[in-house]
Amino acid sequence: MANTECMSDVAQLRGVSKRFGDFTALDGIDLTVPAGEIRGFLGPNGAGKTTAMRILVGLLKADAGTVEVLGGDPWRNPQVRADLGFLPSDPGLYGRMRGIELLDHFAALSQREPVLRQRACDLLRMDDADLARPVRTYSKGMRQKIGVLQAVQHDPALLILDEPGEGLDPLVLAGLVELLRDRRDAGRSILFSSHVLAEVAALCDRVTMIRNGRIIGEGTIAELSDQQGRTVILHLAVEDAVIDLPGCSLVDRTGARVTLTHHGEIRPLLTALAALDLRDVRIEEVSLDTVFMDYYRDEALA
Amino acid sequence: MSGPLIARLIREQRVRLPLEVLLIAAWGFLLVAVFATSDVFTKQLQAQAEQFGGLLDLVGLDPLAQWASVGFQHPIFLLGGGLFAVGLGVRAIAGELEAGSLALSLSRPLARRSWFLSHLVVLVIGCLIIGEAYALGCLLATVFTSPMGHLETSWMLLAGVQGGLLLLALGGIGFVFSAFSSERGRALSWSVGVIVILYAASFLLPLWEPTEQLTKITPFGWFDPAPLLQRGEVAWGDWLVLALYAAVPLAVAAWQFARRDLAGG
Repeated sequence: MANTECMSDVAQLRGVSKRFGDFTALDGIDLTVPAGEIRGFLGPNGAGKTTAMRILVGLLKADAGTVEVLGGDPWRNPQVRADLGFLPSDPGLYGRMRGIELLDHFAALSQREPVLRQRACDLLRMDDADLARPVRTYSKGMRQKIGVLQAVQHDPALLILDEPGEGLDPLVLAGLVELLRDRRDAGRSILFSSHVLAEVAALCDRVTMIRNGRIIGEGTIAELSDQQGRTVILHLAVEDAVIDLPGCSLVDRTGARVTLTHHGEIRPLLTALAALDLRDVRIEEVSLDTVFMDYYRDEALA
Repeated sequence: MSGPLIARLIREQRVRLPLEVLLIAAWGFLLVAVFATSDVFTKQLQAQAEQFGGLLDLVGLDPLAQWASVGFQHPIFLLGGGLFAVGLGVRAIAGELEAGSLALSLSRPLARRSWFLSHLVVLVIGCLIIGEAYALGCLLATVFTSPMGHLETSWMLLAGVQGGLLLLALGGIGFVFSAFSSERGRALSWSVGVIVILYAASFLLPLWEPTEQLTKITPFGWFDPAPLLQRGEVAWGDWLVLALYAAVPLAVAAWQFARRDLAGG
Protein backbone atom coordinates (compact mmCIF):
# COMPACT_ATOMS: atom_id res chain seq x y z
CA MET A 1 0.00 0.00 0.00
CA ALA A 2 1.16 3.47 -0.76
CA ASN A 3 1.99 5.71 2.12
CA THR A 4 -0.80 8.23 2.34
CA GLU A 5 0.35 10.16 5.38
CA CYS A 6 1.37 13.08 3.25
CA MET A 7 -0.47 13.60 0.00
CA SER A 8 1.13 16.91 -0.98
CA ASP A 9 2.80 17.07 -4.38
CA VAL A 10 6.56 16.71 -4.33
CA ALA A 11 6.93 17.79 -7.95
CA GLN A 12 4.79 20.05 -10.08
CA LEU A 13 4.91 21.45 -13.57
CA ARG A 14 2.23 24.05 -14.25
CA GLY A 15 1.73 25.31 -17.80
CA VAL A 16 5.33 24.54 -18.65
CA SER A 17 6.53 25.15 -22.18
CA LYS A 18 9.91 24.57 -23.70
CA ARG A 19 11.15 25.27 -27.21
CA PHE A 20 14.41 24.38 -28.88
CA GLY A 21 14.61 26.78 -31.80
CA ASP A 22 11.53 26.14 -33.94
CA PHE A 23 10.76 22.85 -32.23
CA THR A 24 8.21 22.89 -29.41
CA ALA A 25 9.25 20.17 -27.00
CA LEU A 26 6.67 20.99 -24.33
CA ASP A 27 3.51 22.97 -24.89
CA GLY A 28 2.02 24.15 -21.60
CA ILE A 29 2.01 20.85 -19.76
CA ASP A 30 0.78 20.20 -16.23
CA LEU A 31 2.31 17.32 -14.36
CA THR A 32 2.24 16.47 -10.68
CA VAL A 33 3.90 13.75 -8.66
CA PRO A 34 2.21 13.31 -5.26
CA ALA A 35 4.13 12.07 -2.25
CA GLY A 36 4.22 8.30 -1.91
CA GLU A 37 3.20 7.57 -5.49
CA ILE A 38 4.78 5.90 -8.47
CA ARG A 39 3.89 7.90 -11.54
CA GLY A 40 4.46 6.39 -14.96
CA PHE A 41 5.32 8.79 -17.75
CA LEU A 42 4.53 7.37 -21.15
CA GLY A 43 4.95 8.60 -24.66
CA PRO A 44 6.59 7.76 -27.95
CA ASN A 45 10.11 8.87 -28.74
CA GLY A 46 10.40 12.64 -28.96
CA ALA A 47 7.11 13.22 -27.13
CA GLY A 48 8.75 15.41 -24.47
CA LYS A 49 9.29 13.00 -21.56
CA THR A 50 13.03 13.57 -21.25
CA THR A 51 12.63 17.34 -21.61
CA ALA A 52 10.05 17.40 -18.80
CA MET A 53 12.27 15.27 -16.58
CA ARG A 54 15.30 17.48 -17.23
CA ILE A 55 13.27 20.55 -16.34
CA LEU A 56 12.26 18.88 -13.08
CA VAL A 57 15.92 18.21 -12.30
CA GLY A 58 16.99 21.76 -13.18
CA LEU A 59 19.10 20.90 -16.21
CA LEU A 60 16.79 22.80 -18.54
CA LYS A 61 15.04 26.11 -17.92
CA ALA A 62 11.34 26.28 -18.74
CA ASP A 63 10.43 29.03 -21.21
CA ALA A 64 7.04 29.49 -19.53
CA GLY A 65 5.12 28.11 -16.58
CA THR A 66 6.13 27.24 -13.05
CA VAL A 67 8.29 24.41 -11.78
CA GLU A 68 8.34 23.29 -8.19
CA VAL A 69 10.27 20.32 -6.89
CA LEU A 70 10.45 19.51 -3.18
CA GLY A 71 9.33 23.02 -2.33
CA GLY A 72 11.64 24.97 -4.60
CA ASP A 73 12.61 25.77 -8.15
CA PRO A 74 15.38 23.35 -9.13
CA TRP A 75 16.75 25.80 -11.72
CA ARG A 76 17.26 28.60 -9.20
CA ASN A 77 17.83 26.63 -6.03
CA PRO A 78 20.21 23.67 -6.35
CA GLN A 79 19.70 22.71 -2.70
CA VAL A 80 16.27 21.23 -3.47
CA ARG A 81 18.15 18.55 -5.41
CA ALA A 82 19.67 17.20 -2.19
CA ASP A 83 16.61 15.00 -1.77
CA LEU A 84 16.33 13.99 -5.40
CA GLY A 85 17.67 11.01 -7.31
CA PHE A 86 17.96 11.13 -11.09
CA LEU A 87 18.72 8.55 -13.72
CA PRO A 88 18.93 9.93 -17.27
CA SER A 89 18.08 7.72 -20.22
CA ASP A 90 21.73 7.28 -21.14
CA PRO A 91 23.75 7.93 -17.99
CA GLY A 92 27.34 8.99 -18.51
CA LEU A 93 29.58 7.38 -15.92
CA TYR A 94 33.21 8.07 -15.14
CA GLY A 95 34.74 4.98 -16.72
CA ARG A 96 38.09 5.09 -14.95
CA MET A 97 36.49 4.99 -11.53
CA ARG A 98 35.71 1.69 -9.86
CA GLY A 99 32.03 1.12 -9.21
CA ILE A 100 32.36 1.74 -5.49
CA GLU A 101 34.33 4.94 -6.06
CA LEU A 102 31.66 6.18 -8.42
CA LEU A 103 28.92 5.54 -5.86
CA ASP A 104 30.95 7.21 -3.10
CA HIS A 105 31.55 10.22 -5.33
CA PHE A 106 27.89 10.73 -6.15
CA ALA A 107 26.90 10.16 -2.52
CA ALA A 108 29.36 12.87 -1.51
CA LEU A 109 27.95 15.24 -4.13
CA SER A 110 24.46 14.50 -2.81
CA GLN A 111 25.61 15.40 0.70
CA ARG A 112 23.73 12.33 1.98
CA GLU A 113 24.77 9.02 3.43
CA PRO A 114 24.20 6.10 1.04
CA VAL A 115 21.82 4.43 3.49
CA LEU A 116 20.07 2.37 0.86
CA ARG A 117 23.12 1.20 -1.08
CA GLN A 118 23.42 -2.28 0.35
CA ARG A 119 19.76 -3.15 -0.04
CA ALA A 120 19.69 -1.77 -3.57
CA CYS A 121 22.85 -3.72 -4.43
CA ASP A 122 21.23 -6.90 -3.14
CA LEU A 123 18.04 -6.37 -5.13
CA LEU A 124 19.91 -5.45 -8.29
CA ARG A 125 22.37 -8.33 -7.86
CA MET A 126 25.44 -6.17 -7.67
CA ASP A 127 28.13 -7.67 -5.44
CA ASP A 128 31.42 -6.35 -4.05
CA ALA A 129 33.42 -7.89 -6.87
CA ASP A 130 31.32 -6.00 -9.40
CA LEU A 131 31.78 -2.76 -7.50
CA ALA A 132 35.54 -3.28 -7.33
CA ARG A 133 35.85 -3.23 -11.12
CA PRO A 134 36.41 -0.10 -13.22
CA VAL A 135 33.15 1.14 -14.66
CA ARG A 136 34.58 1.07 -18.19
CA THR A 137 34.64 -2.74 -18.01
CA TYR A 138 30.90 -2.93 -17.28
CA SER A 139 28.36 -4.31 -19.72
CA LYS A 140 25.34 -2.18 -20.71
CA GLY A 141 23.20 -3.89 -18.07
CA MET A 142 25.84 -3.36 -15.38
CA ARG A 143 26.11 0.32 -16.31
CA GLN A 144 22.36 0.63 -16.03
CA LYS A 145 22.42 -1.04 -12.62
CA ILE A 146 25.04 1.31 -11.25
CA GLY A 147 23.11 4.18 -12.79
CA VAL A 148 20.07 3.13 -10.76
CA LEU A 149 22.24 2.66 -7.67
CA GLN A 150 23.68 6.17 -7.79
CA ALA A 151 20.14 7.53 -8.03
CA VAL A 152 18.60 5.56 -5.15
CA GLN A 153 21.49 4.96 -2.74
CA HIS A 154 20.84 8.08 -0.63
CA ASP A 155 17.11 7.24 -0.35
CA PRO A 156 15.83 10.47 -1.91
CA ALA A 157 12.28 11.74 -1.42
CA LEU A 158 11.82 11.97 -5.18
CA LEU A 159 13.23 9.63 -7.80
CA ILE A 160 13.16 10.65 -11.45
CA LEU A 161 14.07 7.70 -13.61
CA ASP A 162 14.21 7.83 -17.38
CA GLU A 163 13.78 4.27 -18.63
CA PRO A 164 15.36 2.55 -15.63
CA GLY A 165 14.62 -0.95 -16.91
CA GLU A 166 16.58 -0.45 -20.12
CA GLY A 167 19.08 -3.28 -20.66
CA LEU A 168 18.23 -5.14 -17.44
CA ASP A 169 17.60 -8.88 -17.48
CA PRO A 170 14.25 -10.15 -16.09
CA LEU A 171 15.72 -11.14 -12.71
CA VAL A 172 17.28 -7.74 -12.13
CA LEU A 173 14.15 -6.07 -13.47
CA ALA A 174 12.12 -7.91 -10.83
CA GLY A 175 14.57 -6.63 -8.23
CA LEU A 176 14.17 -3.10 -9.56
CA VAL A 177 10.37 -3.36 -9.36
CA GLU A 178 10.65 -4.60 -5.76
CA LEU A 179 13.05 -1.78 -4.91
CA LEU A 180 10.76 0.88 -6.34
CA ARG A 181 7.67 -0.56 -4.64
CA ASP A 182 9.63 -0.69 -1.43
CA ARG A 183 10.52 3.00 -1.77
CA ARG A 184 6.93 3.90 -2.61
CA ASP A 185 5.76 2.07 0.50
CA ALA A 186 8.31 4.05 2.51
CA GLY A 187 6.63 7.25 1.33
CA ARG A 188 9.02 8.16 -1.46
CA SER A 189 7.78 9.41 -4.81
CA ILE A 190 8.86 8.11 -8.17
CA LEU A 191 8.41 9.48 -11.66
CA PHE A 192 9.58 7.11 -14.30
CA SER A 193 9.32 6.60 -17.99
CA SER A 194 9.49 3.29 -19.74
CA HIS A 195 8.76 1.69 -23.06
CA VAL A 196 8.01 -1.62 -21.34
CA LEU A 197 4.30 -1.28 -20.73
CA ALA A 198 4.07 -4.42 -18.64
CA GLU A 199 6.58 -2.83 -16.27
CA VAL A 200 4.50 0.32 -16.08
CA ALA A 201 1.28 -1.64 -15.54
CA ALA A 202 2.87 -3.69 -12.77
CA LEU A 203 4.38 -0.76 -10.96
CA CYS A 204 2.53 2.49 -11.43
CA ASP A 205 -0.18 3.97 -9.29
CA ARG A 206 -1.01 6.46 -12.01
CA VAL A 207 0.11 7.10 -15.55
CA THR A 208 0.57 10.33 -17.47
CA MET A 209 0.65 10.16 -21.25
CA ILE A 210 2.33 12.76 -23.39
CA ARG A 211 2.39 13.30 -27.13
CA ASN A 212 3.93 16.11 -29.16
CA GLY A 213 4.69 18.02 -25.98
CA ARG A 214 1.13 17.87 -24.65
CA ILE A 215 -0.41 15.75 -21.93
CA ILE A 216 -3.10 13.64 -23.59
CA GLY A 217 -4.15 11.38 -20.75
CA GLU A 218 -3.73 10.92 -17.05
CA GLY A 219 -5.14 8.57 -14.45
CA THR A 220 -4.88 5.13 -12.97
CA ILE A 221 -4.48 2.34 -15.47
CA ALA A 222 -8.04 1.25 -14.64
CA GLU A 223 -9.33 4.75 -15.38
CA LEU A 224 -7.47 4.94 -18.64
CA SER A 225 -8.73 1.49 -19.56
CA ASP A 226 -12.28 2.55 -18.74
CA GLN A 227 -11.92 5.50 -21.07
CA GLN A 228 -11.03 3.05 -23.80
CA GLY A 229 -13.85 0.69 -22.85
CA ARG A 230 -14.02 -3.11 -22.59
CA THR A 231 -13.86 -5.52 -25.45
CA VAL A 232 -16.87 -7.87 -25.63
CA ILE A 233 -16.63 -10.88 -27.95
CA LEU A 234 -19.79 -12.88 -28.58
CA HIS A 235 -20.27 -16.21 -30.34
CA LEU A 236 -23.95 -16.25 -31.29
CA ALA A 237 -26.03 -19.38 -31.46
CA VAL A 238 -27.89 -17.79 -34.38
CA GLU A 239 -25.74 -15.93 -36.90
CA ASP A 240 -28.19 -13.19 -37.88
CA ALA A 241 -29.52 -12.47 -34.40
CA VAL A 242 -30.16 -8.81 -33.68
CA ILE A 243 -27.72 -7.41 -31.14
CA ASP A 244 -28.62 -4.33 -29.13
CA LEU A 245 -26.64 -4.19 -25.91
CA PRO A 246 -26.49 -1.18 -23.50
CA GLY A 247 -23.27 0.87 -23.76
CA CYS A 248 -21.92 -1.20 -26.66
CA SER A 249 -20.78 -0.22 -30.11
CA LEU A 250 -20.01 -2.64 -32.90
CA VAL A 251 -16.43 -3.14 -33.89
CA ASP A 252 -16.64 -6.21 -36.09
CA ARG A 253 -19.14 -8.88 -37.10
CA THR A 254 -17.98 -12.00 -38.92
CA GLY A 255 -20.54 -14.72 -39.11
CA ALA A 256 -21.55 -15.68 -35.60
CA ARG A 257 -18.60 -13.87 -34.07
CA VAL A 258 -19.35 -10.31 -32.94
CA THR A 259 -16.80 -7.93 -31.44
CA LEU A 260 -18.08 -4.91 -29.49
CA THR A 261 -16.64 -2.13 -27.36
CA HIS A 262 -18.43 -1.41 -24.10
CA HIS A 263 -18.33 1.74 -21.97
CA GLY A 264 -20.02 2.30 -18.64
CA GLU A 265 -21.55 0.09 -15.97
CA ILE A 266 -21.08 -3.63 -16.42
CA ARG A 267 -24.27 -4.79 -14.66
CA PRO A 268 -26.82 -3.72 -17.34
CA LEU A 269 -24.61 -5.38 -19.94
CA LEU A 270 -24.53 -8.65 -18.04
CA THR A 271 -28.30 -8.56 -17.66
CA ALA A 272 -28.74 -8.01 -21.40
CA LEU A 273 -26.25 -10.74 -22.28
CA ALA A 274 -28.14 -13.20 -20.09
CA ALA A 275 -31.17 -12.72 -22.33
CA LEU A 276 -29.24 -13.56 -25.52
CA ASP A 277 -28.83 -17.01 -27.08
CA LEU A 278 -25.03 -17.34 -26.96
CA ARG A 279 -22.57 -20.17 -27.47
CA ASP A 280 -19.77 -18.21 -25.79
CA VAL A 281 -18.97 -14.77 -24.44
CA ARG A 282 -15.68 -13.08 -23.46
CA ILE A 283 -15.34 -9.70 -21.76
CA GLU A 284 -11.79 -8.35 -21.67
CA GLU A 285 -10.43 -5.33 -19.89
CA VAL A 286 -8.37 -3.25 -22.24
CA SER A 287 -4.66 -3.78 -21.65
CA LEU A 288 -2.26 -0.88 -21.20
CA ASP A 289 -0.78 -1.83 -24.56
CA THR A 290 -4.16 -1.23 -26.17
CA VAL A 291 -4.65 2.01 -24.28
CA PHE A 292 -1.21 3.15 -25.34
CA MET A 293 -1.76 2.21 -28.95
CA ASP A 294 -5.15 3.91 -29.02
CA TYR A 295 -3.72 7.12 -27.60
CA TYR A 296 -0.87 7.12 -30.07
CA ARG A 297 -2.70 5.66 -33.06
CA ASP A 298 -2.77 8.95 -34.91
CA GLU A 299 0.95 9.30 -34.52
CA ALA A 300 1.58 5.71 -35.57
CA LEU A 301 -0.50 6.26 -38.71
CA ALA A 302 1.31 9.51 -39.38
CA MET B 1 33.37 25.12 -4.64
CA SER B 2 32.85 21.42 -4.15
CA GLY B 3 35.42 19.34 -2.28
CA PRO B 4 34.32 16.00 -3.76
CA LEU B 5 34.41 17.48 -7.25
CA ILE B 6 37.89 18.95 -6.81
CA ALA B 7 39.04 15.61 -5.40
CA ARG B 8 37.69 13.81 -8.48
CA LEU B 9 39.31 16.28 -10.85
CA ILE B 10 42.67 15.92 -9.14
CA ARG B 11 42.27 12.17 -9.19
CA GLU B 12 41.55 12.27 -12.92
CA GLN B 13 44.76 14.22 -13.42
CA ARG B 14 46.89 11.89 -11.32
CA VAL B 15 48.60 10.41 -14.36
CA ARG B 16 48.26 13.04 -17.06
CA LEU B 17 49.34 16.10 -15.10
CA PRO B 18 52.52 14.52 -13.62
CA LEU B 19 53.46 13.36 -17.11
CA GLU B 20 52.97 16.83 -18.52
CA VAL B 21 54.90 18.34 -15.62
CA LEU B 22 57.74 15.89 -16.23
CA LEU B 23 57.71 16.71 -19.93
CA ILE B 24 57.90 20.43 -19.28
CA ALA B 25 60.58 20.03 -16.58
CA ALA B 26 62.57 17.83 -18.95
CA TRP B 27 62.18 20.48 -21.62
CA GLY B 28 63.65 23.14 -19.32
CA PHE B 29 66.45 20.82 -18.25
CA LEU B 30 67.25 19.83 -21.82
CA LEU B 31 67.30 23.42 -23.03
CA VAL B 32 69.86 24.50 -20.44
CA ALA B 33 71.84 21.27 -20.88
CA VAL B 34 72.04 21.85 -24.62
CA PHE B 35 73.12 25.42 -23.97
CA ALA B 36 75.83 24.21 -21.62
CA THR B 37 77.16 21.43 -23.79
CA SER B 38 76.97 22.99 -27.22
CA ASP B 39 80.52 23.50 -28.45
CA VAL B 40 79.57 26.28 -30.80
CA PHE B 41 77.69 28.17 -28.18
CA THR B 42 80.34 27.68 -25.56
CA LYS B 43 83.10 28.93 -27.81
CA GLN B 44 81.09 31.94 -28.91
CA LEU B 45 80.20 32.80 -25.37
CA GLN B 46 83.71 32.31 -24.13
CA ALA B 47 84.94 34.67 -26.85
CA GLN B 48 82.23 37.21 -26.01
CA ALA B 49 83.02 36.97 -22.34
CA GLU B 50 86.70 37.50 -22.92
CA GLN B 51 86.04 40.38 -25.31
CA PHE B 52 83.55 42.23 -23.18
CA GLY B 53 84.60 41.10 -19.74
CA GLY B 54 81.81 41.84 -17.33
CA LEU B 55 80.01 44.10 -19.79
CA LEU B 56 77.27 41.56 -20.52
CA ASP B 57 76.40 41.40 -16.87
CA LEU B 58 76.39 45.18 -16.62
CA VAL B 59 73.75 45.63 -19.33
CA GLY B 60 71.84 42.59 -18.15
CA LEU B 61 72.09 40.56 -21.36
CA ASP B 62 72.83 37.18 -19.93
CA PRO B 63 72.59 34.74 -22.89
CA LEU B 64 71.49 31.90 -20.63
CA ALA B 65 68.59 33.96 -19.30
CA GLN B 66 67.66 34.89 -22.86
CA TRP B 67 67.89 31.22 -23.81
CA ALA B 68 65.64 30.21 -20.92
CA SER B 69 63.07 32.87 -21.82
CA VAL B 70 62.87 31.49 -25.35
CA GLY B 71 62.01 28.11 -23.87
CA PHE B 72 58.99 29.64 -22.13
CA GLN B 73 57.65 30.88 -25.46
CA HIS B 74 58.55 27.75 -27.39
CA PRO B 75 55.72 25.61 -28.87
CA ILE B 76 56.87 22.67 -26.72
CA PHE B 77 56.10 24.59 -23.52
CA LEU B 78 52.85 25.88 -24.96
CA LEU B 79 51.84 22.45 -26.24
CA GLY B 80 52.65 20.68 -22.97
CA GLY B 81 50.88 23.28 -20.85
CA GLY B 82 48.09 23.85 -23.37
CA LEU B 83 47.25 20.13 -23.39
CA PHE B 84 46.38 20.39 -19.74
CA ALA B 85 44.72 23.80 -19.73
CA VAL B 86 42.66 23.50 -22.90
CA GLY B 87 41.93 19.82 -22.25
CA LEU B 88 40.52 20.60 -18.81
CA GLY B 89 38.44 23.49 -20.13
CA VAL B 90 37.00 21.54 -23.04
CA ARG B 91 36.11 18.55 -20.88
CA ALA B 92 34.65 20.65 -18.05
CA ILE B 93 31.39 21.44 -19.83
CA ALA B 94 31.14 20.22 -23.44
CA GLY B 95 33.01 16.99 -22.72
CA GLU B 96 30.96 16.08 -19.67
CA LEU B 97 27.74 17.15 -21.36
CA GLU B 98 28.45 14.97 -24.36
CA ALA B 99 29.44 12.04 -22.16
CA GLY B 100 26.26 12.40 -20.10
CA SER B 101 28.09 12.70 -16.79
CA LEU B 102 27.27 16.40 -16.33
CA ALA B 103 23.57 15.58 -15.98
CA LEU B 104 24.31 13.12 -13.18
CA SER B 105 26.55 15.54 -11.30
CA LEU B 106 24.28 18.56 -11.65
CA SER B 107 21.24 16.59 -10.52
CA ARG B 108 22.88 16.90 -7.09
CA PRO B 109 22.71 19.96 -4.83
CA LEU B 110 25.65 21.36 -6.74
CA ALA B 111 25.36 24.87 -8.16
CA ARG B 112 26.76 25.44 -11.61
CA ARG B 113 28.89 28.20 -10.08
CA SER B 114 30.46 25.62 -7.77
CA TRP B 115 31.07 23.29 -10.70
CA PHE B 116 32.81 26.07 -12.59
CA LEU B 117 34.84 27.35 -9.64
CA SER B 118 36.02 23.84 -8.78
CA HIS B 119 37.35 23.38 -12.30
CA LEU B 120 38.90 26.84 -12.15
CA VAL B 121 40.79 25.98 -8.97
CA VAL B 122 42.24 22.87 -10.59
CA LEU B 123 43.07 24.84 -13.73
CA VAL B 124 44.93 27.56 -11.81
CA ILE B 125 46.87 25.05 -9.70
CA GLY B 126 47.78 22.95 -12.73
CA CYS B 127 48.91 25.94 -14.81
CA LEU B 128 51.11 27.21 -12.00
CA ILE B 129 52.63 23.77 -11.45
CA ILE B 130 53.45 23.46 -15.15
CA GLY B 131 54.94 26.96 -15.29
CA GLU B 132 57.10 26.23 -12.26
CA ALA B 133 58.07 22.84 -13.65
CA TYR B 134 59.82 24.54 -16.54
CA ALA B 135 61.56 26.95 -14.19
CA LEU B 136 62.70 24.15 -11.91
CA GLY B 137 63.89 22.06 -14.86
CA CYS B 138 66.08 24.95 -16.01
CA LEU B 139 67.40 25.59 -12.51
CA LEU B 140 68.15 21.92 -11.96
CA ALA B 141 70.10 21.80 -15.20
CA THR B 142 72.25 24.75 -14.09
CA VAL B 143 73.29 22.68 -11.06
CA PHE B 144 74.24 19.59 -13.08
CA THR B 145 75.64 21.11 -16.27
CA SER B 146 77.24 24.37 -15.05
CA PRO B 147 76.40 26.48 -18.10
CA MET B 148 78.00 29.79 -18.74
CA GLY B 149 75.72 32.47 -17.32
CA HIS B 150 73.36 32.67 -14.42
CA LEU B 151 69.70 32.06 -13.72
CA GLU B 152 68.38 33.82 -10.66
CA THR B 153 66.14 31.39 -8.79
CA SER B 154 63.53 33.91 -7.64
CA TRP B 155 63.27 35.45 -11.10
CA MET B 156 62.86 32.01 -12.67
CA LEU B 157 60.11 31.11 -10.23
CA LEU B 158 58.36 34.43 -10.91
CA ALA B 159 58.64 33.77 -14.64
CA GLY B 160 57.08 30.37 -13.97
CA VAL B 161 54.06 32.15 -12.50
CA GLN B 162 53.91 34.36 -15.57
CA GLY B 163 54.08 31.27 -17.78
CA GLY B 164 51.25 29.78 -15.75
CA LEU B 165 49.24 32.94 -16.38
CA LEU B 166 49.68 32.50 -20.13
CA LEU B 167 48.50 28.88 -19.85
CA LEU B 168 45.53 30.10 -17.84
CA ALA B 169 44.64 32.41 -20.72
CA LEU B 170 44.80 29.43 -23.10
CA GLY B 171 42.63 27.44 -20.69
CA GLY B 172 40.13 30.31 -20.68
CA ILE B 173 39.77 29.93 -24.44
CA GLY B 174 39.08 26.22 -23.91
CA PHE B 175 36.43 27.01 -21.28
CA VAL B 176 34.64 29.59 -23.39
CA PHE B 177 34.20 27.26 -26.37
CA SER B 178 33.26 24.46 -23.99
CA ALA B 179 30.52 26.62 -22.45
CA PHE B 180 28.98 27.39 -25.84
CA SER B 181 29.16 23.86 -27.22
CA SER B 182 27.62 20.47 -26.49
CA GLU B 183 30.32 18.48 -28.24
CA ARG B 184 33.83 18.01 -26.99
CA GLY B 185 35.32 17.67 -30.46
CA ARG B 186 33.77 20.90 -31.66
CA ALA B 187 34.92 22.83 -28.58
CA LEU B 188 38.42 21.39 -28.91
CA SER B 189 38.64 22.22 -32.62
CA TRP B 190 37.60 25.82 -32.07
CA SER B 191 39.92 26.27 -29.10
CA VAL B 192 42.96 24.82 -30.84
CA GLY B 193 42.15 26.72 -34.03
CA VAL B 194 41.91 30.07 -32.26
CA ILE B 195 45.07 29.45 -30.22
CA VAL B 196 47.07 28.43 -33.31
CA ILE B 197 45.86 31.54 -35.16
CA LEU B 198 46.78 33.77 -32.21
CA TYR B 199 50.20 32.13 -31.93
CA ALA B 200 50.86 32.44 -35.66
CA ALA B 201 49.71 36.06 -35.54
CA SER B 202 52.15 36.80 -32.72
CA PHE B 203 54.96 35.72 -35.07
CA LEU B 204 53.72 37.01 -38.39
CA LEU B 205 52.29 40.41 -37.45
CA PRO B 206 55.64 41.86 -36.28
CA LEU B 207 57.20 41.00 -39.64
CA TRP B 208 55.32 43.82 -41.36
CA GLU B 209 55.61 47.28 -39.93
CA PRO B 210 51.95 48.38 -40.28
CA THR B 211 50.81 45.29 -38.34
CA GLU B 212 53.65 45.21 -35.85
CA GLN B 213 51.64 46.67 -32.99
CA LEU B 214 48.75 44.31 -33.68
CA THR B 215 50.73 41.52 -32.06
CA LYS B 216 49.38 42.96 -28.83
CA ILE B 217 45.94 41.59 -29.68
CA THR B 218 47.22 38.14 -28.80
CA PRO B 219 48.06 36.99 -25.27
CA PHE B 220 51.46 35.90 -26.61
CA GLY B 221 52.21 39.57 -27.34
CA TRP B 222 52.09 40.27 -23.62
CA PHE B 223 54.30 37.40 -22.57
CA ASP B 224 58.00 38.12 -22.66
CA PRO B 225 59.86 36.80 -19.62
CA ALA B 226 63.27 37.93 -20.94
CA PRO B 227 63.46 41.26 -19.03
CA LEU B 228 62.48 39.46 -15.85
CA LEU B 229 65.00 36.65 -16.31
CA GLN B 230 67.81 38.97 -17.36
CA ARG B 231 67.35 41.95 -15.12
CA GLY B 232 64.62 41.06 -12.67
CA GLU B 233 62.27 43.63 -14.21
CA VAL B 234 58.65 42.75 -13.64
CA ALA B 235 56.38 44.26 -16.31
CA TRP B 236 53.28 44.49 -14.16
CA GLY B 237 51.29 46.02 -16.99
CA ASP B 238 51.94 42.96 -19.12
CA TRP B 239 50.97 40.74 -16.22
CA LEU B 240 47.74 42.65 -15.79
CA VAL B 241 46.81 42.38 -19.47
CA LEU B 242 47.69 38.69 -19.45
CA ALA B 243 45.49 38.23 -16.39
CA LEU B 244 42.66 39.98 -18.24
CA TYR B 245 43.21 37.65 -21.20
CA ALA B 246 42.56 34.81 -18.78
CA ALA B 247 39.78 36.45 -16.78
CA VAL B 248 37.57 37.70 -19.63
CA PRO B 249 37.01 34.36 -21.41
CA LEU B 250 36.62 32.61 -18.07
CA ALA B 251 33.99 35.15 -17.01
CA VAL B 252 32.17 34.76 -20.34
CA ALA B 253 32.30 30.97 -19.97
CA ALA B 254 30.94 31.16 -16.40
CA TRP B 255 28.11 33.45 -17.50
CA GLN B 256 27.13 31.25 -20.42
CA PHE B 257 27.35 28.03 -18.38
CA ALA B 258 25.10 29.46 -15.67
CA ARG B 259 22.29 30.27 -18.10
CA ARG B 260 22.48 27.55 -20.74
CA ASP B 261 20.30 24.49 -21.12
CA LEU B 262 22.01 21.16 -20.60
CA ALA B 263 20.09 19.14 -23.12
CA GLY B 264 22.81 16.93 -24.49
CA GLY B 265 24.17 13.68 -23.21
